[in-house]
Amino acid sequence: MQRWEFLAFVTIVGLLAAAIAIGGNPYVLSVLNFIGIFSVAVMGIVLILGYAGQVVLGHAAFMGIGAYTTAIMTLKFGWPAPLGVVSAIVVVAVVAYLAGKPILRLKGFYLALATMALAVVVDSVLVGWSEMTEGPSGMTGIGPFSVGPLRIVGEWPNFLMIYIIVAGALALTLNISRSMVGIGLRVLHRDEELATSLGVNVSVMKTAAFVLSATFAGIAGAIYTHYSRFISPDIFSLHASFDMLLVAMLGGVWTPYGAIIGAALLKFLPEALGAFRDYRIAAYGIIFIAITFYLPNGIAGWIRDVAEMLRRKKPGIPALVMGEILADTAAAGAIGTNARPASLEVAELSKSFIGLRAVADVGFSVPPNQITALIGPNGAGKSTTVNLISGLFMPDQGRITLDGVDLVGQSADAIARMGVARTFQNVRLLGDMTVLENVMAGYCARADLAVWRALARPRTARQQFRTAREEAMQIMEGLGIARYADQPARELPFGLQRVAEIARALITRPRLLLVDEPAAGLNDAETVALGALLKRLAASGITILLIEHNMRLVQAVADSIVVLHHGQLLAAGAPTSVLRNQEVIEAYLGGVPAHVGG
Amino acid sequence: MAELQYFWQITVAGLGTGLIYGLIGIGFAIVLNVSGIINLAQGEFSMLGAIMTLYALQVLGLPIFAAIALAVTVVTILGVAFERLCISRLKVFSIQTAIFITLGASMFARGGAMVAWGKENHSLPAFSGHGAVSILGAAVPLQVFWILGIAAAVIAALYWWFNRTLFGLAMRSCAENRLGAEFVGINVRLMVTVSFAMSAALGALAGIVAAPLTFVSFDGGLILGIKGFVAAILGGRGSYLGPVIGGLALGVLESVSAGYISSTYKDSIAFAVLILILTLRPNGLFGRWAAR
Repeated sequence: MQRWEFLAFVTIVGLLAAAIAIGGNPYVLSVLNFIGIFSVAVMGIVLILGYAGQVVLGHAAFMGIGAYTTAIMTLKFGWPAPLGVVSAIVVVAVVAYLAGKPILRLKGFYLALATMALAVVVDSVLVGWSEMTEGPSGMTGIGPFSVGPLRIVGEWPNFLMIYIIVAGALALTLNISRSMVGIGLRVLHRDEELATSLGVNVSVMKTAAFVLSATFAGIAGAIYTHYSRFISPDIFSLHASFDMLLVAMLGGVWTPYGAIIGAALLKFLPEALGAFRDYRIAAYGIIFIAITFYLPNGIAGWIRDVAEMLRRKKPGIPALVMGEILADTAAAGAIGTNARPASLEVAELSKSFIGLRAVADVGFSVPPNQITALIGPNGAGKSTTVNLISGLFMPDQGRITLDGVDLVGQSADAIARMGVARTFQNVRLLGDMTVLENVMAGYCARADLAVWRALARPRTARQQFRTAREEAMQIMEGLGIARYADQPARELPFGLQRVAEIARALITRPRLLLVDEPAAGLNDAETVALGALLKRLAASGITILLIEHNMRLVQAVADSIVVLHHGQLLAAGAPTSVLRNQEVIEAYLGGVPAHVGG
Repeated sequence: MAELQYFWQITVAGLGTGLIYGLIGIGFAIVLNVSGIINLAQGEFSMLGAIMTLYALQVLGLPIFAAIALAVTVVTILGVAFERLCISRLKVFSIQTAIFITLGASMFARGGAMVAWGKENHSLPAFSGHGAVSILGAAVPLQVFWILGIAAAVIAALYWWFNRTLFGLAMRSCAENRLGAEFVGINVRLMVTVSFAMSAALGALAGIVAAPLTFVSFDGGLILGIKGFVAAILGGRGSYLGPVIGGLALGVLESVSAGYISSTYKDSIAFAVLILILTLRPNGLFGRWAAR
């Protein structure tokens, strides 16, 4: 949370409180308390759905676990309330971890259904375990939150306590969105495979986001228990989860402010229906469908768009062509990446898919600090080889070593963290994020992405975020695309999207850069500029493996060439000798010598 | 001996409900195969079918089979309308939006039914009286034979449809390769609409034949739907027999655990099974499901 935001939040809440104190209206306070409690729970949905992009349908169940844990501990076991709340947090986090680790391997519908099922199971335990939970009628007589002689009773003290917690939750959520952890979550939200190739351990991050999200719900549940002093299972039923999800979407699930709006709606929507209260569920269904079509970013998104429109007209940025931009910056010289270039050895590499040997017994080496081109006709096994090196596929056999370190069996994110970066044949930028954020995403490969440390040490996390931004800007300056930093990536001309991808790879400090068909979709002038850029990168100390169809580019930049054909190694060596190899000419160049047909 | 008798009775009861889960599971599979969508509102078709039959019987005074025909027709029209108005308007197909839209539709159906028919539990009379037949000492309600007959007819009809008609083959090809199907001139959008019509009709029918065994209420669809989904993933979606086998397994498991352990956790059994299968065997027990 930035300082101005915190001050603004405190001021608003303070003014509100003062106004009510003068008016002396406990009903309004109770409404605000309700909103505060539920906004903490809905912020949990922001974390897992808004940030990490995982549709979890049983959020209220975790609120229920938290609520019942503290109720049972204080009422049945006589624990003091603070201990009850702490045990609630622990139980919720443990349950979320144990359930989340396997469940989060699922995606989409399956994840949604599995979490829905989890919520039903929790609900039936709350109803069924009546020795502890008092069954469907719920638990009464729960004590207020109290520490020693300090008892928090009545709307006013609760108001203070609740909004201190809301401020804390808001700060934590905003801090995450403005850290490398936040960037990592946003990447895996949109493209898990890309996240992996940028060094993000997707499973660990999703689980952490899920546990944190559930913990928010659990805390909200625990406060609710000591505030309302009565709980029953239907408050935390599956239908309550749907309602919460709906208001989260309606408020704007991408920001914790949306969660606060959503919690307010949770209170006011039923009242706004007035005489039509019976139509509530049907109306919610309609609203659900309508916001999916017409208001995907919720009310907060709508406010943001209006504010953007009022604040400034988008400055017209000259759409320079890629060739000119790269020519302009070529004079800037080497792009320092401070990484020690590595050498890559591939030996006896094989990979079969059902009924097809995509790569068979292939071996070659990529010497440090050079550009090695991997060529071959379509279906020769080039892309498979790249995917094997970067760890997306597991080879059937063979060795892949980076400076002598075995890469086989390492996960793709671990390989990325060892300094293997790549670009994609079909540019994989995240279109709705800015160019700067896209480039910063590459910093994930070097960043500390532990969610817990980002929470516990916000200063360090912020520092890391700033470093990433500075380095990204430097690299973008070096490549001439800094002026596009704040544009959404989808608005970049295609050639510059290629450049942005290279920038994203460079910020990882690659020791080996895999460039997958970078000339695809570029015109001649752009291809020439790209070649110059690749040479500049090699000169500044990066080992490059270039997978390419465009022979002009290959001839212009390659220090050596490896030729694949039908998954097998056809030739390897210096460009001059390889391109004169009769077999290569026949198999690949269609019988016309390269220097003629070029 | 009484022990065995009890077990047998419980098992037979479980097989009856299991068939229902299987029919609902087939409804899930038809839509999923053709469109790639898991329709979270699938169970609501069953709820609506049962409630509308009851309405046609009691308010319109139709005879039972005319009431059933009317209810199935209306639910089918609702299914098509839902697909045309919402699903087909998803310009960029994203799983997240499909989840929200089908969830919204499910809430709408539930809320609408509550307003129209109230919150009470209703009961639908059995098609041919509430008698029972004794099979090896277990009392089997006559209604179960209706369920059995309809399930057999549905499976035979689907087999014919998907293997012997050009239209059915075209629908299957959408499941295999949507883009390829488009390239050979198959109207994929029409196939998706038809798949929703079929699964709505099937869901309604399942809800109607099941209703006399339990009761009908506005909020029964969601849980019934998830159980149908569990049946589908238990059995695998390769054939239309798979969900039925999965449904039978789930029905017996539920019935036995309710009979021997506690009926409180009856629903939880199905959902615990769902979580276990999805996480341990994401491809289903018998078939290939890509749980992604």
